[in-house]
Amino acid sequence: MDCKNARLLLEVAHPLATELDARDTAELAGHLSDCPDCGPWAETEHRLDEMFGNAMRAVPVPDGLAQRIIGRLHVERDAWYRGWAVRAAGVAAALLLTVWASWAFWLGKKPALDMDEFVFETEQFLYKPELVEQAFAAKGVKMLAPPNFDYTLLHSHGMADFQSRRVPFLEFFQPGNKDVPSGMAKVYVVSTEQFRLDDAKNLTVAGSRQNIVVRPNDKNASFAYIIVYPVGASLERSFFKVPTAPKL
Amino acid sequence: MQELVRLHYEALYRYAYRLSGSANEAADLTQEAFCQAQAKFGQLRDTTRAKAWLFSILRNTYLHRVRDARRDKLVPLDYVGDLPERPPEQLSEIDAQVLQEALNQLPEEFRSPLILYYFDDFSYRDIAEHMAVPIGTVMSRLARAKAYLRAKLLPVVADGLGRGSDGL
Repeated sequence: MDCKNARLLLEVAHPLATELDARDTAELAGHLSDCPDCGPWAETEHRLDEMFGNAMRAVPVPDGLAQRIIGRLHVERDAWYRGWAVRAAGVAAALLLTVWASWAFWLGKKPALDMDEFVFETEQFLYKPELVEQAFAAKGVKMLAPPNFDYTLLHSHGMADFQSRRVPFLEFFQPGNKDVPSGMAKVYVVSTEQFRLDDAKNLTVAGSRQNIVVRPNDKNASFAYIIVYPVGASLERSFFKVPTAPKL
Repeated sequence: MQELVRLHYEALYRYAYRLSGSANEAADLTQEAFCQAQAKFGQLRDTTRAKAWLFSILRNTYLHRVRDARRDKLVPLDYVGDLPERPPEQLSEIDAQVLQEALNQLPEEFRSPLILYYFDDFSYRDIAEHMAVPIGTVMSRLARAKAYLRAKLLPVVADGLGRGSDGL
């Protein structure tokens, strides 16, 4: 190794020896021990580095600095938590405000009482099944009205609960005469959109106070009717339309 | 975090002092660096690199302040040559104030590697990573900064007159 290379390697030999591999380190050490110029030069360089290093590191650290740092870290952390709590409270307040505003909006959307519309609906004379179906369709409910009933006896219609589902509901009132007793027949209209009707065959269940029959729609298997009427009454005679004899 | 403080606050303070040249600013920088470290603690993936990570945070904090205050003294080193062929034989203690004044006049990109070099804990590779520059750039800057420092301080050391060099 010549002096020029030795000086170059000395440049990279400090402060940690990791920059030089073992062979370079050995060659450099050999040159420095033999060379009358580079040996003393390196020695002086080393002493200079030590001197500058000692001076550079000779910085008195203030007493209590660590405690001050730790104290400030606590303050900053507490401030962060407080900020987080404030942000969380802000988000919660915003959510609450949104919910309240939505609720107020919905409240504002509630319709006022409209007696004219109510009177119109109650005064409708739905004297045939098609009119009943149209009345339900106007409210967005698709249904097929039960055939055979005498719709002049239709007392009321609307939606009712049946096995936790809202289904169309009709009430037929028979005022009674010398041939039939008075009584009320209730009809729940069920469909395959809400129920499985595979087993909805013609079925009659006799109760102590009322009869219950299940009647599928003969023309559309998607609908069936649960009919409830008083014991002692005949469904056909009390509530069905009397077939008119054809004119001869 | 307290363990990091206990292990590294002195080294960080010394670095901050040599960077800023002010005891108050050094204490403030050190506290600020630890606060930022606490806020970014999740970013420290390798705890064995905690010291280098803290030094980087402190340097960035210092650079932000300097940029904000526009007070960095950018002294060109164009007139500083390489290391002298033969350093003076007679050496004595270095005046701490003169050393700091000389450091204060160095641009930060020369000052930081010089401080870290003399702190002994940083290899050239560490310094290069810290400064985000190639290792050759670190060596070049170090050579020029050392030459500058010797030009400023060795006459004082040599003749003991406390007179600085105008070698810039």
